[in-house]
Order: sequence, then C-alpha cells, then structure tokens
Amino acid sequence: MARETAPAGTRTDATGGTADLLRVENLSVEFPSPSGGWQTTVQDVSFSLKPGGSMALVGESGSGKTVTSIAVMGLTGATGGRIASGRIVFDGVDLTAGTQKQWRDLRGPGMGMIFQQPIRSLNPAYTVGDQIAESVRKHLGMNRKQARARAVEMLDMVQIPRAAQRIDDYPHAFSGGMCQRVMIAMVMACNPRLLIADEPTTALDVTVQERILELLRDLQEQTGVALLFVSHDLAVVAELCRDVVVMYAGEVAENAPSEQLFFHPRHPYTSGLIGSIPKPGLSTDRRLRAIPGGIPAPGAWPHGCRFSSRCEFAVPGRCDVAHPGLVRLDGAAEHHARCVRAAELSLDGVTV
Amino acid sequence: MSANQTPSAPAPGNDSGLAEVPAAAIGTGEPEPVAAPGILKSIVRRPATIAAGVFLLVLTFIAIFAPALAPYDPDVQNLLLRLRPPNAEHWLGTDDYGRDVLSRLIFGARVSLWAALQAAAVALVLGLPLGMIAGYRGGWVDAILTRIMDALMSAPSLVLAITIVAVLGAGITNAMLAIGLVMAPRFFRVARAGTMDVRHETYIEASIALGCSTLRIAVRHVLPNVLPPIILVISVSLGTAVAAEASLSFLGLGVQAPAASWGSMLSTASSNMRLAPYLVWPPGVMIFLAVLAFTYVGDGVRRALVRTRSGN
Amino acid sequence: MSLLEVENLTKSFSAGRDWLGRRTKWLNAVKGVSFTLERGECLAVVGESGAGKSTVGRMVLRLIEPDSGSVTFDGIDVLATKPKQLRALRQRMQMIFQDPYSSLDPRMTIRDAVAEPLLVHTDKDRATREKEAVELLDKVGIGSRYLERYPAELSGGQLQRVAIARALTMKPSLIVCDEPVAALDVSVRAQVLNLLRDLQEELGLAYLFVCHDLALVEVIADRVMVMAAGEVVETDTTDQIFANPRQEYTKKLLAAIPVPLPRDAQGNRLVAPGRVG
Repeated sequence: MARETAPAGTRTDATGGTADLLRVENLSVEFPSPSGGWQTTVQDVSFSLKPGGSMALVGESGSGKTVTSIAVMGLTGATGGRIASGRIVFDGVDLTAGTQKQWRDLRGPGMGMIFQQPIRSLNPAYTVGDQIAESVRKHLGMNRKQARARAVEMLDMVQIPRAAQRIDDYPHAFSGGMCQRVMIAMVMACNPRLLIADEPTTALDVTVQERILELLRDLQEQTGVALLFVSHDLAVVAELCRDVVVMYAGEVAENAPSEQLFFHPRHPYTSGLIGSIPKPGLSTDRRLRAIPGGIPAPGAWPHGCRFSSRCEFAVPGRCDVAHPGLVRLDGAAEHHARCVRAAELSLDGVTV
Repeated sequence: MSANQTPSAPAPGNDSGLAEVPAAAIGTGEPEPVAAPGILKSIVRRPATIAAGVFLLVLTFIAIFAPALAPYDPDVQNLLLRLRPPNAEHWLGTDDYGRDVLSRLIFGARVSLWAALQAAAVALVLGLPLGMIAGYRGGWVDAILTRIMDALMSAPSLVLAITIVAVLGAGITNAMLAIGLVMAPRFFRVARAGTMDVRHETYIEASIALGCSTLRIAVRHVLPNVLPPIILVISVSLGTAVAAEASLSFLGLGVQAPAASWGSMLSTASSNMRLAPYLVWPPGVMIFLAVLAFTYVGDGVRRALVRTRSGN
Repeated sequence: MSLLEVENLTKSFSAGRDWLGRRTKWLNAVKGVSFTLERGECLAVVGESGAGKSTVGRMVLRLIEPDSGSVTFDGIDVLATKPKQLRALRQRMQMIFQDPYSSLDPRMTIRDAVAEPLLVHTDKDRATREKEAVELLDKVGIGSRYLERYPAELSGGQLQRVAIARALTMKPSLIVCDEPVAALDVSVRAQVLNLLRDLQEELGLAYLFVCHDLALVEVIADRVMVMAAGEVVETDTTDQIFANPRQEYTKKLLAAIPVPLPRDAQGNRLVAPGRVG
C-alpha cells in the first residue's frame, strides 16, 4: 500500500470541501490469541469525522468499538494488541505510518479521551487543580500561575460551582458526575480537536447523565471540538451524535447519519438495538423486543453474515454462505449497510 | 439453527450455538486473557524449585526408611572407636561416644523433619482458623485477636520458645509446641488478609442470602481463597522449624540424649571442635540445605501462584 | 395479608470515627420507609445513587440490620427470627445482584452453584440435586452446555441467568432484584428483563425491583416507589407514575430518560416520520 504523507494543516481536500479531521481506513486490529498466534478483533473498519462533527461508535461488548477507539488514540500497543492493517489519518497525517512519538505528541493538544469510570482516571494523590495544571504545563508550556488560572477557567467551563475553591480538592471529594466533569475539563484544557468519549455516562444516574450530555453538546458548540462517542446505548447516542457507526463482531454493520439510522435502519441488528430501548408509554404488552443469543467471540465468527444466527430475517442459503460486504444504499446519502437483504427489507426504526 | 425463533421470545442465552464473549475480556478493549498456565506447569519451569523439591523428597524417603538405610544403630556406643575421622567403615566418622555419624545423621533427619511437621501443624491449627474468624467477623473480635498475634510476633521467637520449654520441661514435643505457637501469627496474618479480601465480595453476600451457614461459607467459599498463600507459609515455616529445632536441641532444650537430631549433633560437634573438626560438617550442611530447600519450594509455589493469579 | 409488609424502616451508617474510635457523623441512609408487596406483584424501587434503595432491599432480607422498623414476610416477623430460622426463611426470599461477574463464586462450577441451595436446605442426594440444577438452567435458557464451566468463562448475560436459576432453586415467593440488568448491554438487558417477566407469570413470584433507570421500570413493575435521600417521594401504580406524576422529583426523573430521537443541526429533536406528535 502506498503511504502518502500529506503536510499537516491541510484543511481542504481535492474536491474543495472540508477535509476530514479523522479518517479511519480499513483498520484491522489483532490481539494475541490464547492458542498462540494473533486473533483479529477488529476487521476492515472505515469511517471519517469532520472537524466539529459528532459521531457515535455503537455496539455491544465484544463488538470492537472500544478497541477501535483505543486504536485511534494510538494505544493499541499499550493494551497488548497491534494494528494489523489499515490507516488512521488525523488532520491529513497518516499516524499509522509515523512514529509512536508523533502519536504521543498528539495526545493532549490533538486528541483526548474520557472513560466510563472517571474516578479511576484521576490520581487520588493530587488535587484536581494540580492534575489539570500538569497537563496544560506539559502540552501548552504555561508557567505555574498561568496553568492554575487555566485550571480554574476549565472547571468553570464544565460548570463546576465555586471552581476557584474546588480546584484544591482531591478527586474523592467529587461525586461521579462531578468527576466526569473534572475529566472533561482536564482533557479540554489542552484544546484538543478530537474528543473520544468511551461510555462516559454509563456509570452515572440518569439525571446526571442528562447534564453531562448537555455539557458535551455545549462544549462542542463553544470550542468546535469533534466528538467520537463510544456507547452501547442508542438512546444516549441520539441525544448527541449526527452520525452513527454501528459495529457488530469486529466490523461495521451499518453506517449512516443519525436521522437515517434511527428512522430508517437498513440492518436488522440496528433495528433490533432500537427495539430493545425501553421507551416510556410505548410498551403496550409490557415486553421489550430482545435480540436473541449473544455476540460471537473473535475466532468464532461465522463464515457468512456474522449476525445471521441471531437475525429474524436470515434466509438459509443466502445469509450464511458468503460474508456480505458493506454496500452503499441508493436513495440515501452516505448510508451503508452490511446486509444482503438491505434493499428488500422494511425494518422498524424509532416510532415515538 | 432454531427456525422458530421470534425476536420477542425469551431468548435462550446461546441458541446461536456461538460462544458469547465474556464481556470482561472484550469490553475493556483487552484481548481474551491468555490461558493461565497451571501451577504445576509453572513450577516445572523453575529448575531451582525442582532441585529443592527432589532434595526434600529424598530427605523424606531417608527419614521414613532410616532403620533400613542406616549402616549402624545410631545409639550404640563404641568407646574404642571414639572420634574417628571418616574412613571406609564409618563414611562420616564417629563421634565422641564412638557412634556412627552417618547413621545418626540419617536418624536425625527423621527427628528434625518430624519435629518441623509438628511445629508447622501447631501453627496452622492455631493461626488459620483464628485468622479466618478475625477476617470474617471484623470489629472487636478482629481487634483483640490481632493484638494478641502482634504481641506474639513482636516477642523474640527463640527466647519465647526457651521460656515455654523452661515452663513445660525440655523435650522435643514441648519445644515444637513452643515453635509452633511462635509461628502461628504468620498463618494468622495470611488467613486474615485472604479472608478480608473476599469478605465483601458479592458472592459471599449471595451465599448468606441463600441461607448458607457461616461454617459452610467459611469452608466452601472463603477457604479456597486463603489456601494457596497458606501453602506457601507452610513451606517456609517448615524451613524455619528445622532451624529452630536445631537451635533448641543445640542448647539442650529439644531432643534428649541419646536420640540424635541435627541440632544435638551440632552441639556434640561444637564441644569437640579441636579434636574432630570434621564432625561439624554433616549436620551443618544438612540444616543449611533443608532450610534452603524449604525456602526455594515456598518461593517457587509463590511465584507460580502469582503468575496463575495475574493470568486470571 | 400481604406477602411483605415493611414499616418505618430506618438505617444510618457512620461516616467517620473520632480519635477514640467512637463513631461520629451519622448518615441517614434510609428514613422511615414503609410499603407493602402482594403475592405475584412487582414493586419497583426507583431513585438515584445514594437514595437508599439498595439498603432497603438488603434490609428486607436482613443482609443489613435496620436500626428500627419492622419487616413482616408472610406473617413472620423477619427482624425477630433467630439465625437458624432466618436461614430457613431465606429459602423463600431470594436476591439477585447487580454485578453478575462477582455474585458467583469464581471457584465453583455453574452446576455446583445452582445446586448449592439444595445441598444447604434439603437432604436430596447428589444425583437429584444435579438433575434439578439442570432443569433450572434449562428454564432460564442456559441449558446444560456450561455445567462444568466456571463463571469467568461465561458472559454477563449468561451469568445473570445462572444467578436467576440459583435464586429460583428453593422456589421462593419473593425475589429482591438489586439492579439486575444495570451491568448488561442493551440487547442482553431486554432478554433478561423478559425472562424475569416470564418467570414471574409462570411461578407467581413477587419482585422487589431496585432500579435506577425509570425507563426499565415500566416494562416490569406493577407499582413504583420513588425514593430520594433515604425517603419515599411517592408510591403509585406504574401507569399513574408515568402518566400523572405528582411530585416534581418524579417529573425530573421522567424527563431525564433519554429518548432515541436524533436532533437536527439546531439541536431540536426530530420527529419520527409518519407519526403525529
């Protein structure tokens, strides 16, 4: 594969439109398998994100969504895996072709990540102010005083009351939701252009979740940061993201703008995920639609469609023979689905 | 595959015939855990542990079959053959009463190992249940037991043992009782820590909710978590006990004449240092090797356990 | 007579100790909680973390001793029973925990875990116990595929099914469910909730369903008790709670449920096509 290295700072591509901030091209990630050798856990994943855009990676545990986001951060090696093939292009620079240092220098001012357990991402031995200040001093070269001012400014920005005083508190003095705000402040302090959020609200109460989602929306508006949101919960995704990539068994199952995906899903798995969201006032028979069975493990992926064994629309002889490709669907801009029956099925979307 | 499946049916977990992925492995972005090597396999990979284990097995064999293996009666005196250096008849020479040193060394292994076993057993029987009670109950029970054990541990062990022997009278069983008591805090600490580790796990609470008795919870659910580190402590304690027995017997507080133990042989050797310097080597080397072997086996077990655990 | 009558349950935990080791700074975890639960009914206890809902569930089973109040299960004063009677009583009131990964002994096979209650409470022989365990695992959709496996080899959804089978072993009439699906993926969550509903209908079980997610409650609960800061905010039928919540706090919780409707560029919610309102 020819690797081109575009100069940094390229903002427009050949067609004159806005260039992608992040382009993941045919990414495959492998991990050591228990029986020796390497096991593919993410296969041939592609998507792109524009500056200021918001995209969700949706899937169950084992779908490869977290592995993909870790790969974008350049941390695959640190988790014991390796990028087997494909490219991760950030701001026109192919990071997979560059050095680890190049990637490391980007973490902070280029891209930042927040996690599900904010309290575990903060060091209990330092005040939150110190932790925010440390990252801005390192990345933005500020002196002690400037860094402290920046920390207060950031805590204010994430709407922590009495920021100037709370800056000297230790992480344990903050509730779960407040900890997540501190994490967001810490990551945003370096003015990253891409924020990766891995299930940031899963561990939080619904009312707190609502406020964190609001905060992320406000931050996007104020700073223009692009958001890559990793979640298993489509209801949360709908609140925040303009585009959705649905992953299943290590690959992209469906990929579309939110409106298309939620109202006109074209992959039975997406439709099933939408069906299993509890919606107030709608479950007349007081049952949820459940997708039967479980997601196959890497290494146990079926030869045909990987979802076929759980799919109510699967047709023997068509769905279980060949691995279907991700095809662009006509009539809809940028809508792709990996289903041989995508054109003929009429699937349920959101019906509120 | 199941054709009659409707999406709303309560789906059997695995109708698809595919393994559902343990989410713990995949959800965190980690690969599935590499299968942990068995404890035995891990030990096999360490030659020092193997050598130490083989040495201890041979020693046990010698101790058990001492009467058949020893060339002479260890207690028969022959004053005509006093303090002979090693020769063709007496491979390791004779002591100040003309007794065969090799035979005494072989019978001494019996006494030393048996004594060490007794001491370790006393320590285990005292320390393990008390440690589990302290760890499980917590509160004031734990506070009192821990204070007592701390006090035992802070006392110089040999001095304490000598005091106990002085009160109960000299003799190998009393000496080992003393050593066992002194070693009990080690078992207590490990058992208490292991119990506290799992005490607040949900599956312990689940067992209580299920109506299991406390004894069953302790034996079936807590003990398996405590046992592996205890095995390590047993091994190290056996080594300590061998050395402690030697010390007490050297001082004349352990095994009583004419019976042989490595410690009493060392004592004999020291009083004949000038005339028969060769006497000090056989018991000295055996004590050294036995303690070293127990420590190596313990260390091997510990490393194997750590590796197996982190593999999980 | 109701299956379960809880009156004025109160519990406080100490948050700190002074230099003499005396407990200081008492935290009121639960304040004067009362409710009843009928046979075959599902009462959901809803609230945010720190509301005391899990503490209520545990006090009903006496896994936590209340400071005051009374718990009457099937006419028996639970708080007055002796340890031995309490163990026997626990055959009839069971619990399912939030974290399926830690609620099963990692060193026990699935078969042994499900058969354990029979070993503890009955004198059935090994073959009978194991046969019954297999039947239960069948009932919860696990089958006999994982009998000799250990918990680490199963997924979260499967483990929660095993935990349900284990709770059903002694044919209880009450199960306290402490956030039983909070740790599961959305699609698996629906499977487990549906299973719990089916079992309730089939076996006439009563559930005390502790849950932080109001959206799930509508699927399973007959009545809902909303808690905040250790106190009951309001209790009503599920339909009433969703249609006419009386308290502001309940309204706030309802409003926070994420709706799977995407937004347009201006941040306004889009409306599903072909539907009105």
